[in-house]
Amino acid sequence: MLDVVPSSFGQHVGSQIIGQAGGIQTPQTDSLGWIIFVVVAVVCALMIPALPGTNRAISYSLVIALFVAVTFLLVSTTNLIVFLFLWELAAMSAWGVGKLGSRGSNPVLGPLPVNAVGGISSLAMFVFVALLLVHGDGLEMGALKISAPSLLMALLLLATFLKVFGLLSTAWFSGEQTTFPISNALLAGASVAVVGIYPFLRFGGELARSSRDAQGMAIWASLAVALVFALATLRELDLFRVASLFVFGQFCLAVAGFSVLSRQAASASMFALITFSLAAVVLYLSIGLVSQYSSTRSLEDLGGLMRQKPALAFTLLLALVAAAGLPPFGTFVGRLATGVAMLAYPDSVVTVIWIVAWTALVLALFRVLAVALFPPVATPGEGRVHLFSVVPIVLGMAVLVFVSIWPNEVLSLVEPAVSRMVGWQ
Amino acid sequence: MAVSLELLREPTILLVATPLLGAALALGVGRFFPRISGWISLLATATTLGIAVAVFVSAGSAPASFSNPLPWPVSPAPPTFYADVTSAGLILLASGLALCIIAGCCPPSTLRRLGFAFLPSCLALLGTIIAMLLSHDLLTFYLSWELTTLFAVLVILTRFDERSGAAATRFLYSSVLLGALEFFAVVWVGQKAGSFELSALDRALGSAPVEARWLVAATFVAAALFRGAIFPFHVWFGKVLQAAHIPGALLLFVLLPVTGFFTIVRLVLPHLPLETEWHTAIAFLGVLTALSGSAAALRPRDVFGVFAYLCVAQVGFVAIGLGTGDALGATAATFQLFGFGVSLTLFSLVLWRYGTLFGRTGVDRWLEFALTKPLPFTSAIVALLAVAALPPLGGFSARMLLAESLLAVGSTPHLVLLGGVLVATALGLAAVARLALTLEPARDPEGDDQPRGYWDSIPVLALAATCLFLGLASPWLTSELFARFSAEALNLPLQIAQAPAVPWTIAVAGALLLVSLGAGFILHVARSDADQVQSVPFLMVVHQHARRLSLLRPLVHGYWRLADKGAFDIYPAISSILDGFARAAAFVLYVSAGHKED
Repeated sequence: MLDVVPSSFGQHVGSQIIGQAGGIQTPQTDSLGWIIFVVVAVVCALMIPALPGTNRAISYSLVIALFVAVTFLLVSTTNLIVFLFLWELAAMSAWGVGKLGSRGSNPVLGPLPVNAVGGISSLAMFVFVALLLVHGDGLEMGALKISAPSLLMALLLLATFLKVFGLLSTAWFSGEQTTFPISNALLAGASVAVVGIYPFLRFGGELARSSRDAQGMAIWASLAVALVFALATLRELDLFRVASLFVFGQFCLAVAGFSVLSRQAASASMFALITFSLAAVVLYLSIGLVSQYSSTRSLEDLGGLMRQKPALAFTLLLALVAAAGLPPFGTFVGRLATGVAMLAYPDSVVTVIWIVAWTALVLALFRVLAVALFPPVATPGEGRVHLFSVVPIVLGMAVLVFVSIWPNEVLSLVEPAVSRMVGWQ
Repeated sequence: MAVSLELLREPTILLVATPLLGAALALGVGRFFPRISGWISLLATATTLGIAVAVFVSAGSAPASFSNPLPWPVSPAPPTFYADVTSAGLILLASGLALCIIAGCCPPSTLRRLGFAFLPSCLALLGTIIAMLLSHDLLTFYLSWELTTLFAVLVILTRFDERSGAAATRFLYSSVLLGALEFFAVVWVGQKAGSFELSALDRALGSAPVEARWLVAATFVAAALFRGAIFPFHVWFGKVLQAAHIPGALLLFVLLPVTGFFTIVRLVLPHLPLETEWHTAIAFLGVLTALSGSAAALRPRDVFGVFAYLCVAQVGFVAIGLGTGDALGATAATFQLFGFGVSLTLFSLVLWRYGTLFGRTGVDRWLEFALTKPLPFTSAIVALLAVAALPPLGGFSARMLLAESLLAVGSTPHLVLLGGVLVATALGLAAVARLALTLEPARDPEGDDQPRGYWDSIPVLALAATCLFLGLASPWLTSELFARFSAEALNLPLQIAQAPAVPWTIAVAGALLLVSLGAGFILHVARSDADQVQSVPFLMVVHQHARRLSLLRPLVHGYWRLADKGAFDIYPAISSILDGFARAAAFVLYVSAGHKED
């Protein structure tokens, strides 16, 4: 089903945009596009029950609708120029989601594509597409001619990493207590898949296959960045920053998993990506509840939740367990499958760095658990908890448990998408 | 319906489900009716023990197994629960001791102090430990391992104060780090074998490079050493005992070494064929644990500080037995494990109920104690004798087996190990003598002045009777139970495990042990102040002549100086290393991006 329906639909949408009906050859990437779209749609749908509790429900609905629509167009298009335009538009709409939850300006690290990190990312993606156009036969994404794979890979990595980092850096700033967690959850759960993973899968597999240097660059760069972020998470004291560093670390590990170019590693990374997207939503919303109750985001001022608010503590515990990749959540299956694939990689140094990065990320989450739940605090929190957020948390956890019960079925869905995308038939 | 009935008929599933279900019920009810919660917990633990007995009896004839219906993504074979004599025996030990500890917590006044979350956490810990002991594949093993970590943290935490939070954090960090490494070892082995079944491990590891096999074994051994509080991972238990509720800490210390023991005998020894150096290394770590624990027990000024380090010393003897690598040593380790579990539980229950001050009251007070409270007095004496490894109790029998095993092998390392065992035995007796002769039996340590009936004494009496039974029936238990247990655990023929040692080793081992016990007593007297022993003329004479032995003092003090600086605590080292890397990464990330690090 997934392999058939999107082909014609993608052709149709592409034809409408370019105005070349019948002239577009749709690459066999539709399963991938659908999976990315389904992840985004599920994450956005999960957030809907939380919106009525905010004072910006209408604005959120509009921006989310725009984001979902742009995502659908992005994963359906087959034209390089349209891809670049829609990718920027997706980042812009994601930035809009972030802006709704933030307060004030963000002069240094903003998600705005023309600002700082986002600007460099946009420039890199522009050059990447321009090089493809110069060396290619036409505007079609399905027939790439690659002449400088290492350079192209460097540009692609720069573009996706910086754009994702720019979006996740929304968590660096302050925001309104009810909307800030929702915005960050959306950014972590949905925008990482659209702005980061999708372009990498669309182009990165082919680049890595064409050159061993390009493949090595992707693996080593993503692992190095993952390691730096994972270790930096251990020093972070802000709850939202911990979560965003964790999500970015997971993104880098997923890129490394895709770059290994084994069928098992790619499908496992895709599985892990899906489950960790949901876990990120649950994590951000749970952290939001904690910060609303405690009126602080700093780990230094948190503590004693287990005694003061057992239900809230238990929710945070489950969210952290889910994000850390422990049973009974689907993230554990993702972690397990990715671990099996990465341990099969012949270069043991890669495996060791991957293990260290992942272990540091898990330790960072358990550090939050230890600090927030265990030690007593002199003044218990008195903030009002935004109960509407509980619905997405419960639904997200239910989906994660559901996925862990039928992991084989989910893996069988993601495997053809990833395999066809990167050419392993 | 048919499926669920099948599940209910399966004893291994019932074994896991009963304590978990009891925990859920006790948690739901406990907030409002603490007394009922206590009864539910007691009932659940007693039921678990009953099923454990049934499984143990049936496992003696034919192993019982159950295939878990949940499919795993990367495993062609489903995980299985499997009960044989080894796992059923360990479950029997764990559930029996848990029943005694939980029964000791059930009086309403005690429950009020412990809080409503305490008993459910203990029950959940018991359930996950049983799941681990029944696991017959690596995935089930790893999952239940991680769950035991979480519930152990909750057990530590239920005191809800700063110290318990710090101890829980310490335990959590170390466990998560070791657990993460263990996860990758499990996944690597599964990936090499194409299956997580234990039976596939030999095939997988046979073709693996030596370094990889070494790393996997090191990971499992490190995890087992941490769980067993064996040197250099032994410091956590002292911190936990000082921070958590005493019954909770005791439960952890009785149950977690069982999981460490299981890991070594079920995973490491049979499936990770190791060189002789590995066995010797485990044995030497055991000696270091026993020595450091016994030496450390000579210092603390509070009862539970002494108790904590005596506990650590006891686990060291188990590791020595396992490290000898032969059937007699494994039998000694098994006997020691069962013996110290029972005697330390008894010891702690007696201390918890009747010992409060660590005064300087001398032996007269014990006579008064014996006259006013004969049953607790008897139990206390039995516990102290068992922990000190004095005959005719189980502690002495296990130590004798260990000494026989080391003498029977007779190589230089084994003789060095024997020397360590004897010194540790002497130090342990000195610590127990110091505790016994200066302990003031008084009112309950946590202020419960209510009169206690005989009902409250039942766990204590049952444990005391078990201690006596272990000592008096030790020849029969050794040949019929522990030898068979170790033979199954290590895949040895039963005849080898039951074979008696060379007769002369029995005589020499007994003599050496008695000498070391005597030396321990003299050491205690030498370290005591004159006014403590002046009421007994014999002790006074010994004291005057034994002062020359005070050369040992610098050793003990030197050890403590290092211990106070954290030299034997792995946690600060790991924490410092991680913190250093994390600082560098944060500098790269924030400072180079123009942000000041918070």
